[in-house]
Amino acid sequence: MARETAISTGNARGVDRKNRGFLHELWKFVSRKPFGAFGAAMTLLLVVTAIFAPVIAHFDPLATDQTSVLLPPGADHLAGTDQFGRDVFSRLVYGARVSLFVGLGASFLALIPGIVIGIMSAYFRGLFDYIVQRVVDAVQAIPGIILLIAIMVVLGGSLVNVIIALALPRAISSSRVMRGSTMQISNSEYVTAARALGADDARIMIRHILPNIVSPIIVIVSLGFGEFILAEATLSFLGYGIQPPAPSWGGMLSVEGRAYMFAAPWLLWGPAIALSLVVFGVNMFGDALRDVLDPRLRGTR
Amino acid sequence: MARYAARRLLAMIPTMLVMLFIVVSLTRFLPGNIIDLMLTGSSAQVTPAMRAQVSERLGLNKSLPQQYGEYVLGVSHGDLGNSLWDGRSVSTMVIDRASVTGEVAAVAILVSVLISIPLGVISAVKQDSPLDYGLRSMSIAGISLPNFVVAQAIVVLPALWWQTAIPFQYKSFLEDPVINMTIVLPAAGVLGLRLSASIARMMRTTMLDIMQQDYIRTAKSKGLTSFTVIVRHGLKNALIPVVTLLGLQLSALIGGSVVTESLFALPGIGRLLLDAITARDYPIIQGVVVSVGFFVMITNLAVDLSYGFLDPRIRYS
Repeated sequence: MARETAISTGNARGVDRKNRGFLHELWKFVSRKPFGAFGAAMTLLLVVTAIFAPVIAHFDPLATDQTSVLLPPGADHLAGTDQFGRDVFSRLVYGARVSLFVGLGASFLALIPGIVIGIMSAYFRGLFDYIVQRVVDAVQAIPGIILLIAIMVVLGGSLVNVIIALALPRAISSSRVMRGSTMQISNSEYVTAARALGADDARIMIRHILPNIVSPIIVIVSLGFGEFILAEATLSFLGYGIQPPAPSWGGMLSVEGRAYMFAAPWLLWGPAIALSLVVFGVNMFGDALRDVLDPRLRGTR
Repeated sequence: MARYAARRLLAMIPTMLVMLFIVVSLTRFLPGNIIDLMLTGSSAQVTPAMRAQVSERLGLNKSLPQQYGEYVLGVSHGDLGNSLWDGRSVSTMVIDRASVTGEVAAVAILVSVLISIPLGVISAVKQDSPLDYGLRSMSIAGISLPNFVVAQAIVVLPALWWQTAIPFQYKSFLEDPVINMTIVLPAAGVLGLRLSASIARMMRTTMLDIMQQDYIRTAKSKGLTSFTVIVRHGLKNALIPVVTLLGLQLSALIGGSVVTESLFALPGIGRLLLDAITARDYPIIQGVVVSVGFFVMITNLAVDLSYGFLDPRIRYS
């Protein structure tokens, strides 16, 4: 009897602790990884802004208004207006959509080929692996932005093409990480056991290897996300990315910002601050995620 | 050592062949007719003769294997082809421009090493102090600030605050060292800032690790001054990861030069690339990609070989 009570109170306390637990765990995370928490908040802010852009922005990001040109920030236009009378704040808000879309789009587009090439390369080895590894070497030797510009020149500037150009080299270079992880696992006993039981290659790769390389995959995606956002901004800044009048933070900095940088410096502040905060936040979030998921990779950047 | 170097050099050949294949096929495999793209924007009427001429110069009238073979043969002789519009040798252009990019990169590395190594060491020695937190926050911010935002700020802020601007007239160091440095220093600063942020982080982690080693305790208990222990015993051993990082970041440094050279009007490799793109001069674009890639591969090899000098315990097999 006494024993039963002890168990039941134990349970009750367990439930209680679980409720308090979430806030407690959250606080523990915030106090232990303040940058990571800040990064998570920034990433969340980006996602929310992108999803609710039409609610947050009071103006059409593309609507020009000749009566309110180059207005400084004020009550009506929170971040001022540009040379066509477009509301800068609304353009910033819709720019978040572009950034998020590019980040997510390129991450997912690069993911599947990266995984497939990586696993196959490690699994089959031999000539196939040798050729793939030389391709990875070649792609990694060319500085990212130069390769991107070269691809964009041939593809032509548009949102979809930016995503393709970002994903292509990424799929190739990320396959090396997947390959490394697969190599470790394909020597393990449960893979040998699966093979002894008569599982074919496809089954081993999908059922036994893939689930075990999920952590490096998440880490690669989270670190790539910030790089993609930054690369899109750089491309658009140089004029090879998303073409005006579509709002992209990098494009806003160069097309609007540079032309009027002395007369209307607020055209620079908005996109510069938004871009820096988001890249910082996403990177910090990725770092924290990496520490939690894959301690071996700590400090590799 | 020499055998190892030779083997690594030979191993570069297949990678180089793959890279040349990527570069050559960029003109072929991607959608859209490259000749139409190139000729749009040229004021003259596009005649079939012009198309034939452009296609011949690009090697598009040949089969892909033939075009590839000829390009490989050219590159192996140091010939990267000729500019489409004025016929100048691409190799000569790249070499001419490389000195500017090289100067900026060298100053950037110097700046970053001078800033980051002391900061990283201080951060590690004063671990978890407010100073450490301050320095770490600064370096994380430094990594996150986009190159072109910092470069833009350097261009705009002096003009807004003090009504002065950087003179955007590049002169080589031998012509006019003062003007040369007024442009090269800010450009190198932008690239160096980012680099120093990553080196400082790496330096801190490595130093923390090293300062817990037995030989550091031995050195301390011998009664050496903490300066000697940190510099002679600690720092010396912490330099290898920094060299690796510098080698890895060189590619990012050259990539970053595309942005800084366009903002600071520096006539380097990055600018050559952007101008070639505006002019749709495909042989130059290919030539820049190939030579930069080759340079990065060679430096990575040099970095690997340098470990043996930095740490005699490392042997190659």
